Amino acid sequence: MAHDRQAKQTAHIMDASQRPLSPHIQIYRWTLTMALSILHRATGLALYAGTLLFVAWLVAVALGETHYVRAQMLAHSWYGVVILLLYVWALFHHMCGGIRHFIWDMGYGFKLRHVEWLAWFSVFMPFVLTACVCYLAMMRGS
Amino acid sequence: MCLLFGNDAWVLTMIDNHKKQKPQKPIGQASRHFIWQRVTGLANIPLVVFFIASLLIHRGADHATIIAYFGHPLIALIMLVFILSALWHMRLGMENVIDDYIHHKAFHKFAYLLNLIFTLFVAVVCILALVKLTLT
Ligand code: HEM
Repeated sequence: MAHDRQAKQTAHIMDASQRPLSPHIQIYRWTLTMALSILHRATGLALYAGTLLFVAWLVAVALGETHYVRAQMLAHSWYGVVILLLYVWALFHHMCGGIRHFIWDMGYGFKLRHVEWLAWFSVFMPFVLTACVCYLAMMRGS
Repeated sequence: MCLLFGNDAWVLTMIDNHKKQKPQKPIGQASRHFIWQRVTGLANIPLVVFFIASLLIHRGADHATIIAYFGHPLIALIMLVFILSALWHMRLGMENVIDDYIHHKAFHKFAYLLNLIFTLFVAVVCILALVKLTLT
């Protein structure tokens, strides 16, 4: 009986702040899939902000010749090109990440071998696609 | 259907119910969010490819050519679908991010509101620009 009472009295000591925690994030070793998961979110957010560039371009086209020419000039400046390349890369990265998600959602690709393969796919594919766009953009003019 | 929407339990139940011609259970908010995130994401793939290809084809083109292209009713329609799909997808995605990081109830609500306002703002400006393009 005394024991019970003591247990009741000390129960409150083990409050939320004292419960054992699951290993926090700095315990884990970095893995490719973790980095890709974060990058998918980061590129999603970058694209969110990037819609403003898209809007600006569309409005410039709609407003008429002078604004369009100014937009073209901005897009062809060195910083314009850098931003556009990052934009296109983020778009392709997010797209490949999305395709990976779709494959998982269909219930495939969970074997470790396939997870690795898909991870490398979404690392390299965006660079390949961005390079393709870069090449096509540089062909003839612009 | 299953292939498209994955193995989200709600969706499968819904499809099963449909198959058995049972009265369908109302589908939950979370599943609807999930499904639309996938549907718009999937639609975004061809639309993004279409848009980038359009820009590449017209690299260095003058204003009249661009107007003629994007002002064509069919192209403008595809652009409209692209804008709606991408913006809807973007809004849903940001809701997930807000859910993950903002737990205070009032801030959470406020963040949702800002997200909606940003999305609507971008949508309205894009659609006005498209309308003007089609009419000129
Ligand atoms: C190009 C085709 C695209 C595909 C295939 C795609 C696919 C996806 C998928 C499957 C998700 C859900 C990820 C998850 O549940 O963890 C997602 C999230 C997201 N997407 Fe996309 N998306 C595309 C384009 C875009 C665009 C154009 C934008 C912005 C304008 C965007 C913004 C976002 C955001 C903000 C999220 C939330 C990120 C997160 O929850 O971590 N996506 N995308």
